[in-house]
Amino acid sequence: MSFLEVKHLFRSFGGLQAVFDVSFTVKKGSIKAIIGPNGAGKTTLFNLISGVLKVDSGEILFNNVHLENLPPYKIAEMGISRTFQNVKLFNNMTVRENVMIGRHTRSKAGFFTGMFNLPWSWKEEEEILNKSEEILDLFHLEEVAHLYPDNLPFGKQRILEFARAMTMEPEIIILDEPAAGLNIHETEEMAELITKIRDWGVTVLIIEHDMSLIMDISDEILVLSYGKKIAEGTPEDIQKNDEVIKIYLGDDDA
Amino acid sequence: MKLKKYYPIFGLILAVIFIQLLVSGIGMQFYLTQLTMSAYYGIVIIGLSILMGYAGQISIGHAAFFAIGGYTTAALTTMNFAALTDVPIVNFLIKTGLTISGMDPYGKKIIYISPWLSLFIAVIITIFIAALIGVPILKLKGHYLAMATLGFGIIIYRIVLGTSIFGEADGISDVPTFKFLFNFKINSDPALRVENYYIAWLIVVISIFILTNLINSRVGRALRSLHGNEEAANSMGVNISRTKLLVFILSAVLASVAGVFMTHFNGGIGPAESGVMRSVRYVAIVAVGGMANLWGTLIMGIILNYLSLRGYFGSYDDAVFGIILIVIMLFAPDGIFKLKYCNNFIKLIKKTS
Amino acid sequence: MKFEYLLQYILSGLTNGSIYAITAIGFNIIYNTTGIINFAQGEFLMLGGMSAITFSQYFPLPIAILFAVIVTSIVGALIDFTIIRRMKKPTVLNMIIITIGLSILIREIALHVWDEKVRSLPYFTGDETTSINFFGAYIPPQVLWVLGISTLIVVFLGFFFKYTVAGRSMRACSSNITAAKLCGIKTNNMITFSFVLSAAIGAVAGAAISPIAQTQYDCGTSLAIKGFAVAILGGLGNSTGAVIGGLLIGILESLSISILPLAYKDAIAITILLIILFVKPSGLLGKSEISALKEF
Repeated sequence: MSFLEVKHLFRSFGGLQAVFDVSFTVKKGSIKAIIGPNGAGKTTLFNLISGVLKVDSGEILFNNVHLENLPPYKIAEMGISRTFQNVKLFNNMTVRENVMIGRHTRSKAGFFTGMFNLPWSWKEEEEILNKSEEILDLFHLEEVAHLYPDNLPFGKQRILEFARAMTMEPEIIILDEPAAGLNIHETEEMAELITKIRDWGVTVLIIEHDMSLIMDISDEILVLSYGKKIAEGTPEDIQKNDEVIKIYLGDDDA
Repeated sequence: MKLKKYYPIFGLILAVIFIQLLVSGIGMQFYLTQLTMSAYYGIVIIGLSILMGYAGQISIGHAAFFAIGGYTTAALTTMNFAALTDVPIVNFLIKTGLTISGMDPYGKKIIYISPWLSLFIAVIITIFIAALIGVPILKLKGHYLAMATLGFGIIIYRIVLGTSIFGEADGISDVPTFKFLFNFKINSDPALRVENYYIAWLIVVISIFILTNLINSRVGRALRSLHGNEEAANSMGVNISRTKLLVFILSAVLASVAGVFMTHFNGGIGPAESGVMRSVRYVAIVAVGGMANLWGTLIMGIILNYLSLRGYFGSYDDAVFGIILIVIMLFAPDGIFKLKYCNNFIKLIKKTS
Repeated sequence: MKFEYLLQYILSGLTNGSIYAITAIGFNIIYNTTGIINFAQGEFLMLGGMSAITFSQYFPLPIAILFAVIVTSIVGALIDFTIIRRMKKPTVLNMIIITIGLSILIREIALHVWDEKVRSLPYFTGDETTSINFFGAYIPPQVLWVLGISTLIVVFLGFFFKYTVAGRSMRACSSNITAAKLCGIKTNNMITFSFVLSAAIGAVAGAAISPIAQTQYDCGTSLAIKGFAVAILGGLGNSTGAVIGGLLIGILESLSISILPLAYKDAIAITILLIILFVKPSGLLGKSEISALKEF
């Protein structure tokens, strides 16, 4: 059995086959990158795994539990957390509160408990607050914790989204182009954070266009093109793979 | 546990006592009647603020829930069961002390359901209806949600207007006294203005206590997060439809409870309470107060309702609310408490205290 | 039910339904260029009816109606110039609230300009007593006027949006306002124009229905609610849907009166709408992606 296993996954939009017969596995504690040209179906694949989209057919197994077609919040409850290609933050809440939401699946206080502020939730609230402070520290966000996210520079917003996803203490984190729109320093900081969390044992699934970042950090790479799996292997394998080179550099010399 | 978030509530309690003493001191006790009614409307408004401001779901049909509460209690407590004592359920209610017996003005014996029981029934009915319509309605967004809630309001209004047990166009009058705790009474007796005033504000304080807690709790954060970005909230583990539904029900129950007490306070209820204009007015006040601002909406709710009830707007009553909506949306879409000079003023108060 | 009665009900349903459809199209015109629902749409019908009645005391009927259309169009333009354009935060929620405010304001102004009295325009041809026998059902001539005018408006709009530059520019705005701007279309003018157009057809419909339905300062609200219901039912922005939805609601409503008390009439249309929305949240002909995109 493997940690995360995708078997013969299909998904189409109208006539377009966005994901076509994709299978792969992810080892616990590894960084797996998914690359491919624009429109290759990478984000669709992530949306299928995180439950945002329904699958047409195929299986997604996480610790041998079927994930396909579960709603996103159930998938989050199982310990799979994600970020979005176009950052999605809660702009009506402070940075601290954004991070606190990350603890949602790790806490229990319900509606009635909240309404009457019942004593047994106090400890939990404290735990949420402590964990959030810890994460804010780690991601260097403590200084902006009282601000609203739309007042942050874009790089910080990406990092905040990452921090929010990590507060959940997920088993797998899915990062959709975490370095898009970041400058060199921010990209470096991001790469550092990603390897850091891998060292804690968190499995990382990542889409990224920045090839040097991908080759640096990932353990395994999956290449998609027009929804199909083209290649899978270590960064070295992929760099040598003829078909991948063809896709990226063009088939014809014209 | 931090008490800081409750400071405004202590402030409210002091203000309530101060206003009562002031009004009684200058011999203007009749002002308390409108202040009591404003308090009940205030409960509807803070409930709507949670739904609209914090959860981001518009409801242009909230008067319907107020009416459901009011009409349920009015219909149940004005029904005479004296002739039905043999019916097992009635008999059971009488034995368990859930009915009240008395005499009507002509000396005939009447037995009616205790207002406490009708309050309970009203809340149950409200929860049931809110859950029933909430499940499909809350899947809708934007204009579709606005239309659906507006439509629900109109349906309730029409039912009230067209059904004989709800008194059709006349409404229901002669609703009996609600014996509150410690023998305090909710009714329209002018001699009991002060105790009615305090009961109403007690319920406001309880409501705002509950809502303050909720906003600052785990569920409250989830609520605000789904207003911020539904997709992200969902991927963080927030069960969107369940959270929306619970808030919708809570908001409906608050409106309904306000309706129950208001009806006993006024001694009756009429169809205007469930009209579209009433719902629009609630939305207007929530907008003026700044949507996601419990205190802002409560304060504006009290002020505007009080002015309206005292008749300061004369025949321009509805027009005033129309103008308020336009002006606020044009110049202060975040509510008047977010205006610059207003903000500075609030900061000043915070500094000095 | 006897066939003649059925026919009578269906005809009266068609008459109301065509007015609902025109109101819904008015909603759609503004919705398509701006993405907002103008809750004051019903007030355009009321203003059209009321001012036509006033003008008809001094001018012959066609001229009175023309003046009424002009006055209402000016009001439409003013709404955009003075208010809609100046919104700081034009979110859907804020737009809903501000147009509700406008609708209340216009209604209250009408109450103070005119009064609470119920008025009506004279029949365009004939009077209350003339009627045409149609397979055993009696149709007042005004019904034919309403149906004719509604059909004309629909045909005119279809032509306008397809073949004129202004119409095409408005369609461009509706499909992508930024792209339209980049193509050199003056989108602000198009928005104003959509208010004018929608006010104008509202006024025509308001005047046409006045002899049979009568006009009062607050008659706009229920028409707006029905029109909105129909627009939603047909799928927001979809004018074919509006016509189908309008006629459908009109007929169902009028048939329901034969079974249920009159007091429930308004509730019937809305109950049908709610049921349809619950089954298909984007309306009969609406695309689900569109309704999901234009959220708060």
